[in-house]
Amino acid sequence: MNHRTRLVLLLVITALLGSGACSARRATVTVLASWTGDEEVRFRAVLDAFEHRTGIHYDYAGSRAVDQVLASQVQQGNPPDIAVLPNPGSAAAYVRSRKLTPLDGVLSPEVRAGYGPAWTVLQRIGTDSQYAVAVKTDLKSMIWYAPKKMAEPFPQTRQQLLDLSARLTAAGRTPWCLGMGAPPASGWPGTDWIEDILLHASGPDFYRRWSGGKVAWTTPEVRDAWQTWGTLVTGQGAVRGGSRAALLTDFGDAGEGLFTDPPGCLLEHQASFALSRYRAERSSTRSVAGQDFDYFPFPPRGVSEVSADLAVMFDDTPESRALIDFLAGDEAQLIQAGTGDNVFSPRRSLADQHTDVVSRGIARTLTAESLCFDASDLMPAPMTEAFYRAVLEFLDDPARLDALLHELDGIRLAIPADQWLDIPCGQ
Amino acid sequence: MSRAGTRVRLTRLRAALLAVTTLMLVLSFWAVSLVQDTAEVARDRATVAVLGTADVRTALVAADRAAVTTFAPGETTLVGLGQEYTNQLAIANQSLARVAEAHQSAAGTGQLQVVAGLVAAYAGAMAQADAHYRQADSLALGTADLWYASRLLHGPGGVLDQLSDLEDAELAVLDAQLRDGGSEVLPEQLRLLPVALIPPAVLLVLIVFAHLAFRRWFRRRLVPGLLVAALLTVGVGVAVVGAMSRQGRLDAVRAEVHAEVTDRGLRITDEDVLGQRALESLLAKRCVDLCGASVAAFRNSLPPTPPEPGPASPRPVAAMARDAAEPWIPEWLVAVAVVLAGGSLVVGFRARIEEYRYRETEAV
Repeated sequence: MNHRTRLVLLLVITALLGSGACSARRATVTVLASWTGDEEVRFRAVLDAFEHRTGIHYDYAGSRAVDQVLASQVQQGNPPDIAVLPNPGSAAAYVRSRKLTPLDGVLSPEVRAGYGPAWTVLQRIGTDSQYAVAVKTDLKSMIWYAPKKMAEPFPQTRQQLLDLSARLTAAGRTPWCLGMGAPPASGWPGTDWIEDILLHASGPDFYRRWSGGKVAWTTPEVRDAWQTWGTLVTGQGAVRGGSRAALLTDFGDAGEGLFTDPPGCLLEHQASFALSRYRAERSSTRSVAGQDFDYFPFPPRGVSEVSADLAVMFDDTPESRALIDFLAGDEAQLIQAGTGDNVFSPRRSLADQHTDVVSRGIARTLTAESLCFDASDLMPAPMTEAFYRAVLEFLDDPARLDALLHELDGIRLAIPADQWLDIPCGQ
Repeated sequence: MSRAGTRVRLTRLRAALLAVTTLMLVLSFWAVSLVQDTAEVARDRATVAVLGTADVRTALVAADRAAVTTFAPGETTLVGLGQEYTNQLAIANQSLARVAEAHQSAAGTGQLQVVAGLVAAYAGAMAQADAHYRQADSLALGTADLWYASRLLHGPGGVLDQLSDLEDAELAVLDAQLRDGGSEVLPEQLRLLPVALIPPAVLLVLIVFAHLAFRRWFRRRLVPGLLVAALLTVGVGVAVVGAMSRQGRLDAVRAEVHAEVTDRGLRITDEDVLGQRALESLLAKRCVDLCGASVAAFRNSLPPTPPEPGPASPRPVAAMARDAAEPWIPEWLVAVAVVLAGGSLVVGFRARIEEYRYRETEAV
């Protein structure tokens, strides 16, 4: 081997070593979401599939305090590439501060076509461009019950719901399972109640104006919604353990009273994600949807309150573009839905994937019927936070309602008009 | 043996000696640097991250217990959350900042951001509890806020869970570094340290061989250049052996960090159970009827009340890590010694090679 050959060999070895070192630094996309526990496992399955398909590594962080974590990261100039937010109101704040990247040119036409009109509007977050993709959705206008333990006819009107609750209480049976604990967002289960009552009593147009900050909290309609909820849950014997026990009960634990013998409570106003807990309630003999638990729509039926987890893109990189397109597609949402029938996609093509009658009913509602989005999720963060707190204060002392509504309206008036989202409702 | 043949042999022998010297330069410098760098990383980052995470856990558990104890009488309080809570929360935040600078695990940054967000939410819930505990008619809400704060700290995926995961990840990084000294690209480098002893050993053998050759060919008893090169080579070998013995100190640091983390973990658990027991008593006072399913599950999950932990006696981990990172020998000195050895070899051969070149020229 002459000198020149040796030199060439040395250069080749150096180049190979160099390329090896470079390939060790794999392309990575960072993701932040609120999912922990089982939900995190499901979401990681989606991310694993993405990694397998693209070779792009992911770095996932999950926290229930996703808003706080994200705010801190954005403030430090180090946001994740992709964040999955449970509330469009937060996403809107990042759109206004130009932190988010529009997705109009990012998503493939097939992916965009898979969403119905209501979801397409939501994904624009009050703008003309698409800024988010709904990766998981939930139906909120539903009241769960155990068919084997409650044979009452379903209420078709608000008055019938009030009558049912009063009749059960009078019979010494506790109608409502209720839990407000959801730190750091304790109180949201109560806001769902108020929203549902208001939406079904005052209609989508009023609801839209109220969630958009155009209606005072002190108007008779809003006050009536609070009072109706108070009638249902703050009376003696109306809630398992009493309404103050509801303050200390985590929302995830409230429904277990449906399955005790004798039942601790007979009805739970809770979103479709309760399915997974209900199925797990009797671990030895898995609870069967439609037999051990079922739901009826919040009366009167016709319009439904829904919520969504929205994926948004902070850093516009090829890796984050690839991931958000993947998350919005059928494959990812099918993986996330898994085989448990508990997770719902907004994509129309996946509505019939569910196997049991309860899940199919929920999926069809989420992709077909007229929908209105969770108002507290649409409101600016200070209003949302105050709404949560007001619910807790009201449960503790319903007599404070007037003062609470005035406080809430003071906060509403202090928020600039451009910070409110105006999202169509019931269309 | 012809004159030309002797010169060629001399030249080849010198080339072999210089090649091994070059290899010795690379490997001895690598060995001494690797041990030194590993010790410095252990001192400045790995132990700081692991023990800092334990500090955060200790401070948060102490803060939580202090706050619950302040509210325990179940009456309105004038002092609010109390000085101890404030102090411990400040310590937790300072320790968190220290960990943020020192952490090395891949998921560390994300986890620290999650922890920071949760700690902020925890402090917010405590502040709400404080505000309600100052009013006689909202003690129930104050208790609920105290409960929410506790869930943020203790619940699944809560602050303490996240910190435990982070501590485990940082401990794994420390283990990998102090045991293997490797990086992502070149793992387990410390295990290759003995390889660095091969060049000095081979060089010594070659120098002895050269000396014997000089004796036979030129009847020289002593060749000063070769002698100096031999002494410097021994010195380099000693430096490498010294570096290898330093690795033992790193193992001791690693063992001590593990022992300290275990001790602290036990103390944190005891302190935490005492705080949670105090919360349970407070909840029992405040719940008029039932506390609900969540509190019932919480009560059932509590371990028996442990004895009050005695004063902490921390191990001298930081001092050990500092000692281990004290330079055994400067890396540059090793390099200089090797270069001098190479120079001595060149000088030792030069006279003989020049002599034979001169004779060949004369013969021609």
